[in-house]
Amino acid sequence: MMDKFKQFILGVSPQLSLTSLEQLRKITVLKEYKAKDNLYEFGKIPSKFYILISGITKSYTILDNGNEYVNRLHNKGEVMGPLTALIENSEANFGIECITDCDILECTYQDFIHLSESDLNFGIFHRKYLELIYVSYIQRIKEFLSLSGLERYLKLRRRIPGIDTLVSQKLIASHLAITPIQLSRIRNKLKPKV
Amino acid sequence: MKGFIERISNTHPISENSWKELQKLVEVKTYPPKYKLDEPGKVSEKAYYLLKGVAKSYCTSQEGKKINSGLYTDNSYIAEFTSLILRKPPAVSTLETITSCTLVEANYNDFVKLTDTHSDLNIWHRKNLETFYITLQKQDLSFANFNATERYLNLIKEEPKIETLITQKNIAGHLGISQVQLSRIKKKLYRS
Repeated sequence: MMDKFKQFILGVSPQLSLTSLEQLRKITVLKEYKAKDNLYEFGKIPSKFYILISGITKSYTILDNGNEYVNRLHNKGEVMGPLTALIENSEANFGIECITDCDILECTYQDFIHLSESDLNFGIFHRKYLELIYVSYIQRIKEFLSLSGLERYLKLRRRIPGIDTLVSQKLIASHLAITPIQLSRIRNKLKPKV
Repeated sequence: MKGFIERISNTHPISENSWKELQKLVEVKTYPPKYKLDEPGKVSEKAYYLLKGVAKSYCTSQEGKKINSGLYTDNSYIAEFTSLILRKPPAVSTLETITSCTLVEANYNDFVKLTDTHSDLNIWHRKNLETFYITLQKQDLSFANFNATERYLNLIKEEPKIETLITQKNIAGHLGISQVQLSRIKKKLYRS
């Protein structure tokens, strides 16, 4: 389990020393969650961020019209958390719910900020990590602007193989910002013709 | 340069020595309207701070349609970050001036090297990245949550002078709607 932790951290910042890695390990706790568990309370000021070791989760919000909007389906190895709320110390406008049973590392955000600001090694890791999530977010927004529903669906299937058997079609449709009917048409088109 | 200095100290004050080092990397330049700062096929090298002017970023779809993905005014950071960070040419994005623009510019690689060796610069840069992330998240939510009329009203609220600075075509592009749709929205608002 811990090797996955090491693998993830070094994947972002390979030059992080073993001492630094140990320090980071000290402020994280491994927890097991069941499907449908929420990691923190929606609408409350959050204090933690999470690293998904195994399982699938969704980051979601409820729109003004009452519909659910899934802005990210998380796969193992990803960092998750209401980052905007953690940075601004405001109420979480996104929730995270486990879709399958999950193993998750938890870390108090302020403990991490303390490390990041007192040890430049962590500062560099933190900088690199923010760059990565910024890029992946921008790519998602550009996909919305430039790719069709079909192309977004194919990309999702490449990122999380087996996604169709792991989560409901309704959830996938919400994540792709299309209706379940549109998704079903797309899936029919992709079926090999007899 | 004043706007840039103020912005730094508002985000995270840096030492005199760090400021001296940073000054060695940056340069102030003025570009004409419609100048492409970054474009598909060319690896981006520079990050910019817009002191004065209006600039936009847009993607070109496979059918050749231009779709705006960002609109920037005085005192904002602009860059083709995906290309800078991944060191790959932008696939579909262009960063272009709309009016004449005065920019503070720096080679991003050199800049990052400097932030990796100075703790105060590292914290300052991290806080900037956090702000960029928050802006993106708001943009994402805004597209999911608001209709075009609401997005137009939000834009006017955030950039009150935008109507006088850029064309209706650019505003429509930024809102992800056609010019005809924008004109209908404005008519309706004006009537009521």
